[in-house]
Amino acid sequence: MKTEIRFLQELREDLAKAARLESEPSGGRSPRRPRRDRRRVLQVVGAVAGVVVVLSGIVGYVATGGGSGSSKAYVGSRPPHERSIEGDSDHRVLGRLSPGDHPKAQPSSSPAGVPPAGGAPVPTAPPEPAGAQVKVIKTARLELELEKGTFKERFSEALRIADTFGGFVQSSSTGGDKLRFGGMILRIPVGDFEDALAALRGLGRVERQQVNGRDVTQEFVDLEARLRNALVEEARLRAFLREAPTVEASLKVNQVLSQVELEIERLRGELRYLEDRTDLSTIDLELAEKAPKEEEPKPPAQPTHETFGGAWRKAVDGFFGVATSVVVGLGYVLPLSVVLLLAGAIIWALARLVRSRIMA
Amino acid sequence: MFAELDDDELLSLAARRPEAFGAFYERHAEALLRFFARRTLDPDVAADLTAETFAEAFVSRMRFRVRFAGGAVAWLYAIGRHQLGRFYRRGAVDARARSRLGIPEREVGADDYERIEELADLASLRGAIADAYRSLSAPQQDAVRLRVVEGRPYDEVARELGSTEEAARARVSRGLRRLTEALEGQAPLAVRGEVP
Repeated sequence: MKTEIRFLQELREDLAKAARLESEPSGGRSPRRPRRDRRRVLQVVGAVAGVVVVLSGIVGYVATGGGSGSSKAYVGSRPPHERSIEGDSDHRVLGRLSPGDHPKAQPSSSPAGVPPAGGAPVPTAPPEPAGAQVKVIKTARLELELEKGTFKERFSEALRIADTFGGFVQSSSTGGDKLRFGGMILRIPVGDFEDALAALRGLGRVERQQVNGRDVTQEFVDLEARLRNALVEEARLRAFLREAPTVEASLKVNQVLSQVELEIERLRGELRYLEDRTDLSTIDLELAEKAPKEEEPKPPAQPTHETFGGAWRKAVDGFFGVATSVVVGLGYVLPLSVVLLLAGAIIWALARLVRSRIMA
Repeated sequence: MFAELDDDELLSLAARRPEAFGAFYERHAEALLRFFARRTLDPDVAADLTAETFAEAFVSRMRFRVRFAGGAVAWLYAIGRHQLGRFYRRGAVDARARSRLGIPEREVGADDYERIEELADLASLRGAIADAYRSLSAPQQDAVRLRVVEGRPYDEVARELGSTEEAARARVSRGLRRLTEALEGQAPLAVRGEVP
């Protein structure tokens, strides 16, 4: 070669050597990649494999919901600190009846011991007025938990609530020394029942609440009807007594009249009771201070060998957890990797084709 | 034996007879070296670019197709410009083709330095170079001085400039490119046998 530049001469020799290697009977194999090139390829392959494994682990961890040992304890369930204020299974939500509702008729019973009038037609009681007023007995039981040291204040506040709503305390009791507790039976006008109950709930944390409503309209109507009948019968018997022809007849009529009068008193008593129960609702209120949280005794320090054993078990669990996550993640990542590799290979081939066209 | 063949025939023959490529190389090695030297002003870089271009051409010679007269030389210089562009972008000469052929990276000796400078007629460009250098921005001047004049490695250049190595490479590359553009405007590089 006619050049004085040694670099070019050496390059000429290097190219000639490469040409000879190609021409060798071994079939013109390309010269072996230099070690540095192979190492670089291994580095790239290793890096890609590492990325795939890490990515698989992350994908697998997410897919398995945070590992094999995780639990979804509170999904779909209520946290333990939440309590239903509905209370017992026999709880009935109180509802207001509309004035037009007609409660189921209850069988009426005739008073015992009242002999039917002999032969004489019994005047019927006048018919009950249309649209009878609804009568409902409203009761509630409310158990409240109070902060320690607040019982006296809350108890007094409950008395004030009863007074505010035009009610009164039927009975009350208190007790306890370190933790105070007590209760009261409140009678509240039925129209203010719900408001009074809501006000009482605000005194503390509701542990339990039970509200009941018993419709006694039919009972009331029935008692009134029976009372009217009994009054009519009483009036008839008094009239008959005045006109009794004989002493014997007078005695018999008087005996029946006494029974009817007793029946009238009984019926009136029942009516008064019902009126009292329906005009005034009943709230059974229980108040109790809660005990402060006791500190859980700290478990004694584990001896070293037990701690190590627990750590070893955790390590083994963690190993299998990670391995599981990686395996699951590979199921997601490998198909995607194949697609990406194919796309990359196509793009690379197209780029080489374009470059060769440019060079040609 | 290959003296009677033109460049297109040589390169076409080289696909089946690798030794024919040697003849092609001998015809164009100095010219290509000069081409790179006048564009990089760096004998080391010019030599590396020459080696990598011929290595790439040797590896890719199977794909060459004669489409017009003189196509072989145009094809060779296309590879060269591609390598030059890659050098400007990355600040380093590629060595993949040489690695594939097992050709070691060689240093340019002190004698070769002078010969390359003579080959590229770099002496006549000194004045133009000085003017072009003064037209550079201060950071580019520092970068070119540190790298080209003082021969510092890029990590040192970066430290001196207070920048990243990539930024230092970019400044050197841009500075040399501006110098080249300025030089080409003042002294056309029309040398016999060179393809612009």
